[in-house]
Order: sequence, then C-alpha cells, then structure tokens
Amino acid sequence: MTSGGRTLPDFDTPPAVETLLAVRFAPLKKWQVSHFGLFWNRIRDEYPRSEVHSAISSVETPVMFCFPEEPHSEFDVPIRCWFMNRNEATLIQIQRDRFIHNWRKREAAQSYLHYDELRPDFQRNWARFREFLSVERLGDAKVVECEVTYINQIERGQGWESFADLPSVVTSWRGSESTEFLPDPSLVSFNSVYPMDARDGTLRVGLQPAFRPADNKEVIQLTVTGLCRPAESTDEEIFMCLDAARSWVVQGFTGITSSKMHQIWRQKP
Amino acid sequence: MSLAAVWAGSPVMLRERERRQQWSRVNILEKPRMLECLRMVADLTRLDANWDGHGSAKIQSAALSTAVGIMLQAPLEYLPMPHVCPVSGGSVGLHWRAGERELELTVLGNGAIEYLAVPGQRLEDEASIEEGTLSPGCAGDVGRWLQWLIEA
Repeated sequence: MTSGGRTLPDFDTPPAVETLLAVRFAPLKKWQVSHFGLFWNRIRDEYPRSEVHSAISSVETPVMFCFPEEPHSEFDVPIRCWFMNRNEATLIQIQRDRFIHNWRKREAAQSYLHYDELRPDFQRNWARFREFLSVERLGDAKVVECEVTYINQIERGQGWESFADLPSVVTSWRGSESTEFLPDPSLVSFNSVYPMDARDGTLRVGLQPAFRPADNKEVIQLTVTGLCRPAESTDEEIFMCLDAARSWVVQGFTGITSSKMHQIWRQKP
Repeated sequence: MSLAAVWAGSPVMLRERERRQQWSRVNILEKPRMLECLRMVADLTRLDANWDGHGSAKIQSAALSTAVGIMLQAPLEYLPMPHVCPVSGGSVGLHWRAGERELELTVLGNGAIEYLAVPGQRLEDEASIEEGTLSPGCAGDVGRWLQWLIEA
C-alpha cells in the first residue's frame, strides 16, 4: 500500500480533468430512438438535462452497421444521447452499442475524483441500464470492450513553456535528432499503443496541443485509455476488465511522464 | 472561398468533434500558425494590473475570450500574421495588414469590438475608412472584415 490504502501511484494535484468509464456492446437490434427517452425517464431526477449528438463509430462497429437489417422506421438514425446531472459534473452517454459515463472537473480548485469513488456510480447506472434493457425486452448487452480513459491537461507554465521542453514532461518523447538540421518543433502530437499483458487489452496514449476556452490556457492534452475485452458479459468480468484497464492507465501515465512532473503534481509517497 | 463557411467551421471538423467521447471543451490545435496566434493572446493573461505603468487594469477575461474566439474561427492560413498587443483599460488589440489594407480591432473588456478598416495609405483612401463598434456576442461579424482583408 502506498497512501490511503491505494496500491497504485497517486498524486495530490494530478492534471486529470476528466475520467470516463465505458462499455461497448454488440449493437442492440431492437433499440429505437424512443428508447432514449424511456431510459431518460428513469434517471431524469438525477440527470435533468439532455442533448442529442451523432453516434460514435468504431472500426469494429461502423455506424452504418448499427442499423438493424430492417430499420423500424426511416428516422431510426445512429444518434447518441447525453444525460447530464444538475451541476454538469457527471454525464451519461448512450447509443445503440455504447454506455459511457464521464466525470469532469468544473473548476481548477475542485479536487480530483478517484476511480474508487467513480466506480460505484458507474456500477449503479450500468445496472439501471441493464435492467432497462431487460424490462423493455431489448436483449442483453453482449459486451465486447471495456474502457477507462483519463484526460489530462498540462498547462503551459507548469513544467513546460514550449515543445522543446516536451522531453522533460513526457519521457517517451526524446526530442533528439540524428543531425543538427532541424530547429525545435513548433508543435508536437503523437499516438502510441501498448499491448497489455492481461485481458486481451491495449493501452493507448494520445498527446495533442490544445487550447482550453474555459480559462484561455494553452495545454498539452494527454489522453490515456485502457481497453480490455471481457471473456463474457457478466458484471463480475466487466468490472475486472475495468479495474485492469484503470490499473494500466494509472501506471502507464506514471511511466510516460517524468519525475519532474511527478514532483509538480506532488506524488504521494 | 466563402468566408461564411470558414467562419462556421468546416463540416468535417464539426463531425469529428461530435464523434469524441470527451466532454470537457477543448480546441485541439493542429496548425502551428493557430498555436502561435493563440499563444500571443494567452500571453496577455500574464500581465498584471498597471502593466503599462499608467494604472491600466489587467486584461479583462471577456476581451481575452472574444479575441480567442476570433482567432479560432478566423481563416488564419489566408491571412498574414496578426500583431497582438495589450490596450490600456484591459482591452486586446489585433492588427492585420494585407497589401495596402489594414484592419485594426480593439476587443473591449465587455467583449464588444471596435474596428477600423483602412483601405490604403493614399490621401483619397481616407474618405473610405470605415470604423464602428460590434456589440458583445457579435464577433462573427468580424468575418466580413477578414474577408475584405483576404481580397486585398
């Protein structure tokens, strides 16, 4: 154990601004637009605001294949609904083949929410969704992927000023060239994928320069995603996958960031 | 090129934004020019009150947000680099020169924008100098003046 009963690396002021837990399942063939409203009705007290967005597609489940073979109506379009809680810190996203739960920091002073605190919330709402599928006879969700994503934003001025400083922020970016020809980069972005040694998983790391409109700050956005394929669709297996993905995300994040940054974020002993 | 289309954001970009799972709003930067322009505006946040030695207020957040909004939506690849500067009272100054034409914007502390469009340096051009004020929330109207600059 390191701190507070936690075994994984932990920080007092980590740069995480948003966490999401997600489950992707085989497209529900009987799902119709009306089901978004029916499900919302069950959670509306807690999630009173809604928005409609286009569905997220994936290589394995392209949006066009989300349609049932015979659409129930010509308006049966691939959409995703957002349901937000009162203070707009928690979001549930639903589409024909995904259930996504997001938590975000609304203010810089707000403390970081640990996975241990978010997991029960996800568990409760995922159970509500599964119960809804059962009551509406929409079929059980055949889960094909579990995801944990941490979105980190490292403000310019906190350990870096220009992209020439990136090697002292992210250890996997060396920033060195074999000749003296190139000047310092004006912009850097990259994606890397690592195999996980458990649960047929992958860890994805994306680094992108970004601008945060809420406070007009330039940031490096470091998105770390753990993806696992459950062997079966039981809740026990799903949560073991989420736990494994989260463990890789935390250890992966700590591994690719420098000890200088760990000091800035005040790593706990 | 229709500036109206550029100003609204390309449909491809909007679709990409919609596809993301991320909730917190952020603008991913893919072009160094955009980064450079935004950094010039963001650096103004580092100025304390009395930055000019004459008691000026800090740069106001509404002025910064509006200036950032202009940069994010402007077709920067078709424009010369702007000159960005602090203006007494907490405003932000944006200045472009394209050929003979000049556009000067002063983004005020309440988000309103004063504009001055100078068509050329000749004496006869003075008669067609245009100036005015755009109300807060009307930053989109700046597009008309940027289009005018691009056509120079």
